[in-house]
Amino acid sequence: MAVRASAKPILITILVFIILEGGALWMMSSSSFFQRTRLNNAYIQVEQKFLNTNSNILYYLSLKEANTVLASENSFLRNSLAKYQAILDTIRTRDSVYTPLPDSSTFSYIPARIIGNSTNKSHNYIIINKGRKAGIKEDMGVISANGVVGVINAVSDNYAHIISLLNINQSVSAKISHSGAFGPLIWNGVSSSHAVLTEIPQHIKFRMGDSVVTSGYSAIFPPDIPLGKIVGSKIVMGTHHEIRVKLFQDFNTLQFVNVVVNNNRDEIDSLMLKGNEE
Amino acid sequence: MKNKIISDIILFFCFLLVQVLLSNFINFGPLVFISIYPLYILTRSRNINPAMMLFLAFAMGLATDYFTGSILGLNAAAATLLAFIQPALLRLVTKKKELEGPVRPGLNELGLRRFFILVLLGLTVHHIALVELENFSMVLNIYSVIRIALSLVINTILIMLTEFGVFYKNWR
Repeated sequence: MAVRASAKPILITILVFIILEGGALWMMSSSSFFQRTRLNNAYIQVEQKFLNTNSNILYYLSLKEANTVLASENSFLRNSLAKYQAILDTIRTRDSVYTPLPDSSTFSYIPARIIGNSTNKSHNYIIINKGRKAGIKEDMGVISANGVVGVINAVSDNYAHIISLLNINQSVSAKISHSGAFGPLIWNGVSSSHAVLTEIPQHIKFRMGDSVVTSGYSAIFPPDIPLGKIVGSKIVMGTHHEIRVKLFQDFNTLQFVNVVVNNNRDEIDSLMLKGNEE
Repeated sequence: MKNKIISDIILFFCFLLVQVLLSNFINFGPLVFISIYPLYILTRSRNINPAMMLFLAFAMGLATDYFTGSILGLNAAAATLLAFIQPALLRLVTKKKELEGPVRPGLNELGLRRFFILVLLGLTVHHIALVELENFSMVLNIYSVIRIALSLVINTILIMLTEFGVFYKNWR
């Protein structure tokens, strides 16, 4: 009668085997200098690997804090950059006449962290952890280090709701940095890393790899924020180019954003209203 | 049953004695090492407890190391490895329901060809383990290969002769 061996005795055998071999190795290392040196080397290597991994894990755990610090520092730097830009503009236009420097620039930035994000729908939305209390209002632009993220469409006290650039109803005024030709950049709902720049007249010349930046004509976004690069184009209806743009921003890994505050927004709006009335 | 255990113990010490005598009192040079005790481990019957067998092999190897003055634990490790793979080797050379129970898998029971394969495979594993552990690296240089091959030839002949001369004839 053949009795099938169950798992337990086999496990015991393997355990005994490992213990005995370990004992033999230990005896060898304690009785022979050569074997001891080799074993010590191996042990040190393993220990180094372990310590390395350990420090990597610790580094990873502290990344969150580091990110927050970097994000606030970024906003601060952007704010000061915008201020100096404004000063520079003033100096350029009226270099002979002394004028008091403006105490605020056109654009300032509020850092925020994304707490909700989607990339797999045709109407994608993002939620950030700053709201009305932090000075955020509707129709403000949202950017990150790699380009435009979206436009705020609803605000509560502590949170804000953003229509992502990856939304088929959203468009951003963009231009080809090389030639300056501008048109709306829209998302066609195909891939989260590509968008389409339309209404570029047919006579405009451009090359693959040219960068696409914001035009700055919309009062929502400051000009010359990089958006992506040209990877393909076709002519639609014989009149204009439809350009495929590879976005610099990876929306799947987005974490920290800056909300753009246009300090002269009201003035521009009232001016436009006045112009329309006349 | 009790008789069998006592004869097994006597066999154990006989193998140990022969091993120690061969290793200590005959100088074969640095290229050849003599191992006769693998025969004892390879011809354990199938009904013995595997864990018990590991302990026996370990004790055999350790005693060999101790009495022949080699690195303590070297032969013990190799012998334990051999005892660990012995059931697999036996399964390789026998059919399914063959040699069940307390039958000793010797030259008489297995026949010359199958017994030779069993010994050759077992000794190859044992010798490679022994030399690798002595060098303590996974790389085989040409010296180690020559050492393994020479020892393998001599030990195989020695074990086949011992089996034929001591166990095969007495069984009849």
